[in-house]
Amino acid sequence: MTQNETAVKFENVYFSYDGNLALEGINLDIHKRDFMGVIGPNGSGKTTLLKLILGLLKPEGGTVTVFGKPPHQSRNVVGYVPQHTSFDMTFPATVLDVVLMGRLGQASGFFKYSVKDREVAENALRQVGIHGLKNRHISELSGGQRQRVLIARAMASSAKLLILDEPTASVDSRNEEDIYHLLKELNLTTTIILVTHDLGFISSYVNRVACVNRRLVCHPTSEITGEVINETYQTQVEMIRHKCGL
Amino acid sequence: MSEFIRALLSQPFLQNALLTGVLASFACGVVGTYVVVKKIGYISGGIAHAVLGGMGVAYFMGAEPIHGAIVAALLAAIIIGIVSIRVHQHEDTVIGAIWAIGMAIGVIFISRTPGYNVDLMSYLFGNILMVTKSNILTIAVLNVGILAVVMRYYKQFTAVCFDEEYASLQGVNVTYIYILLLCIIAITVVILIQVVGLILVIALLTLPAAIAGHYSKRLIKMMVLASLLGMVFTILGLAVSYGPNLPAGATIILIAGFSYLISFVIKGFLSRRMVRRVRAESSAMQK
Repeated sequence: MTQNETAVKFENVYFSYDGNLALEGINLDIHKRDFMGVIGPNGSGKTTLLKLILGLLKPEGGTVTVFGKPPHQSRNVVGYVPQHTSFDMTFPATVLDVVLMGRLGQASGFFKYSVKDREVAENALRQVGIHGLKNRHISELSGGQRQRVLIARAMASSAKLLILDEPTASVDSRNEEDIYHLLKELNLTTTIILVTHDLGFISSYVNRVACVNRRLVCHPTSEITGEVINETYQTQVEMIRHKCGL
Repeated sequence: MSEFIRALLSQPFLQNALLTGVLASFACGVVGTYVVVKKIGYISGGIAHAVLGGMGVAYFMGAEPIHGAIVAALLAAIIIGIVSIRVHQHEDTVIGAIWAIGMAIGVIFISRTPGYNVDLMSYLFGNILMVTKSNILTIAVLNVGILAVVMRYYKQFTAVCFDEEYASLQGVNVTYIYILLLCIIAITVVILIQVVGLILVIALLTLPAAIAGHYSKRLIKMMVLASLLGMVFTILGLAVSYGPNLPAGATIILIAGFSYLISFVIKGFLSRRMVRRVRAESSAMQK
């Protein structure tokens, strides 16, 4: 059953900021090739969950493993896509420059990136459909294009797991749909974890949903499929709400 | 101006000054670019002022002030680097403290030095016309060292300046790279202090890079342009100040400062035009 090999595993994980419990007793299995949506209200611990997977934070109790290893040892196969509003638009870098930074973990040598690094980066840009913009400055892009640059950067590091933090925040709805469509394609070869607080779109793309509000209330083993949510969206959402007590 | 060129051909001190200015502009443009894009002008200011402590101690002990400056600059860079990573909340307080403590140590040691009292003004405001041959050699060696380190770590420095979090996810040791960058800034500050003195040094470090940033889409272009601008400002400053016998450092900074303000206005005008063009393009696409 290669299909069900575990990509990310949380075992009874606790985390707190200055004594305030942010995550409590989290157990979670994310399988390879899953498209996992993580939802929850603001301040519910979604980003904390991501940072634990990335190894930027260390759990206070329990263990997190990524592809069977501690998070900081598997960073080279994890691609992270932060919120695109989080970086400095005035920085002198072109689209290709930013995507090349995704090769930093693999790159060697002096000063310039190698020809191979450039090829990988340009391929990533083709995959996300903005290769034509490679020489543009990052300030000359729309919100949706910027988000694609960050997805390409994450893919350029040959990621087997993509982690996205609200990729469609401040992107208009047509672009939002395009980005989810792109992720669905990438999901054919890559495991994806996507944090969002809008339930609306993700339901038809993800195959599993985890609801976080300090605890991971809706355990994903309940395996809510995208179709199910989509067909009976209203009632299903009500049901999740009810079960989560959100 | 022709008077300046005639003097330049005959006066060794003026040739030394010009050579110092040209050498300094390389480090100034390359490292200044990092200071501007990483927005660490205040941190660099702290390092620059702490340097007076090292100069004062070296002077008191009869050593070359520039050697004391190097030690003090590196020490300040490492302390400030560790503090800014570890205790983020009180970063500016700590930098302010190191800034002032360094200067206080310098003033006390200079005042305690027996014999002929050195002109404190020349440390504070620089005296490029007094640079010696051996100082030029030191500056050249430091310059080569700075450029070599930047070449080696260009990708890492750039990634850390753009997005620290992502760089660390890529396996870059952000703490090490950040402190290394501050050390490079410290050495650059020591070089530039020879040109304009420690009070004005941050202006020379940041203004050419800030102007270059107005017209550069890529970091490497910004560095080249900033170096060229640094060179133009120092040479022009020397030439303009020579005839009426003005202080060279202050003249260089005034030229750089006015150029920055003019560039700022031009840039604002150009980007308003670009916004209009992009709006026109996108509305044409929607039709």
